[in-house]
Amino acid sequence: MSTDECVNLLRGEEGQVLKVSFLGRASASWRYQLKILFSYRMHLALEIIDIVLSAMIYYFVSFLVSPDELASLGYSRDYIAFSISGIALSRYIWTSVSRLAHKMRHEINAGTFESLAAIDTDNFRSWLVGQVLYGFTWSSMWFIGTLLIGYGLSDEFSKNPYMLLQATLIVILVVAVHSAIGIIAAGMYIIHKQLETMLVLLSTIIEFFGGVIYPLSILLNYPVLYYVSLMIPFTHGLELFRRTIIDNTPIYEPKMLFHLGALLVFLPLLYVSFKVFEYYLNKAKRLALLSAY
Amino acid sequence: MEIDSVLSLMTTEIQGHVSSLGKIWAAALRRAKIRLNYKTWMLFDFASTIFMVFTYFLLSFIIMPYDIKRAGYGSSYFTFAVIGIAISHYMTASMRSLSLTIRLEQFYGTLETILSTPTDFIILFLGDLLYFLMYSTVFLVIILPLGIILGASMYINIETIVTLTVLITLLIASNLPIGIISAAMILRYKQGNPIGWAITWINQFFAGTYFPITLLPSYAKYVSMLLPLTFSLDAIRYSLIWGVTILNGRVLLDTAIMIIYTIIGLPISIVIFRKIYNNVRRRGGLSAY
Repeated sequence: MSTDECVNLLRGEEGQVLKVSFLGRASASWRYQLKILFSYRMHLALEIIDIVLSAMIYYFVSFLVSPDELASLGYSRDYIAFSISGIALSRYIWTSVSRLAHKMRHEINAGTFESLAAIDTDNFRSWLVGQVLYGFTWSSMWFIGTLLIGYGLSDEFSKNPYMLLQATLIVILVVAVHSAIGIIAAGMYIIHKQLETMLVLLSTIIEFFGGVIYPLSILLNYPVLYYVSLMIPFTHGLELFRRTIIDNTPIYEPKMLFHLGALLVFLPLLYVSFKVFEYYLNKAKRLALLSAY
Repeated sequence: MEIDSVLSLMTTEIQGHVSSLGKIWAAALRRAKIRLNYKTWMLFDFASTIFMVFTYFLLSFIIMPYDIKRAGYGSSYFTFAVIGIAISHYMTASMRSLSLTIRLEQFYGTLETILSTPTDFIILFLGDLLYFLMYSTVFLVIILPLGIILGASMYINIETIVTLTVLITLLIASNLPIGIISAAMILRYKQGNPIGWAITWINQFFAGTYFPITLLPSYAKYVSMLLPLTFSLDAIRYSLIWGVTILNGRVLLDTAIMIIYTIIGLPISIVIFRKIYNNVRRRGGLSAY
């Protein structure tokens, strides 16, 4: 029997079992994951310790940093605000990007991915959207927690609601652009399996070229590295975020518009990412690789 | 039927004889073979650490040397940081390798099979640990020369290499009890990552991986003094930065403290682990995750 005959034999009529709306199912997928998270209280407590200590490391590193050097490179003199804004955004991106691939790995290893992917497309998509939403909820908690510690440790963070609104919009844009990487990675994970370390490497590269804990202007001493950094969307996102939330620079300033434009160039990648994911999922279905790990 | 009668019914005499060292080596080789299958994974792991070295190299451009000097580590923050990064894999090996191994086998459902063999779990753990030590040494051999190329100032000669070997052995031995207890907790509570992360972060923060502990407020320094890693890091940094051996007063004091931690910590942690392990085995919980 050919693969197509086999698939036809098992196929049920579309819409047969769909009684709940797409959004309802996506929200159910999001809520069940949150319920799992909150049932592991110790896990949650340890995560909070993780957030606090990772921010506090840079609080103490800030005692070593020269404020004059930082100011001469075009930033505010406060290294705590500088580093915590960088860490908060990079971790936000990292957790958002890796969440879906991580979930894929979990389901594949536990042997439940095949069952999930074998249900009709709409159900699978709603599950996927729910998981992505959960990823953002979880990383948003991390992001807000780190920023709150930053506000507690430094006076340099903006309290202007208008600037905070701009910063929020920038974060949404940065996350949207980088989600594409996460969706592509998750798709590739279905076939190539060992991709989580690649995501770790990616986050390290992002931290290095994005200037998370050091001012990007230092890279001007190494022009090749500086130009490479300008090709990474995160560099522009972080620059926009820092200038807004620390220096109160409005988004319509020419320098900010340059970074905004550079970031928007990467937005179509989001559409491409869904196509790539679908391609890998279909390929894995056809090759019966969904349950292999 | 009583549990003991069931156990005695299934107990058989051990056939054949392989020395304990042979078994440890075989266990290390087994882990190495599994890891070597994932070449891309290894490549990415090395690349991540190298990028980290470059990140701290760039950060050092805006660092003032006063506090590093005051803590007795010379005048280069980059040297301070690169030594911390170079030995970070040993820290992970001693504190997390056992728990990572247990969690992985637990998750794949192979833990029960492995722990039910006549080979003592300590032998298997030592094998895994040996693999992680070899892996960490490769990192050390790459990271330290890379640091020196980028301008880190360190004394690398026969004397400091011998001292470094002794100090790393003590680092592993003195931190191992934390790893063993953490592994026991995983066996008992089936919660992998968070415990490992918390241990890593607490150690990185209080032991002064990225900044000298002299910057910490006095009450936090008490926590630092409770962690063997604080003394391991101090001794290794001091020896490599100043080119002194284990006979130097400061290094000798750190060494003595690490030995005390090892002598007290290892037997206690092994007793705790055995107790939890036997308890879980008796209740038939080894295959649950």
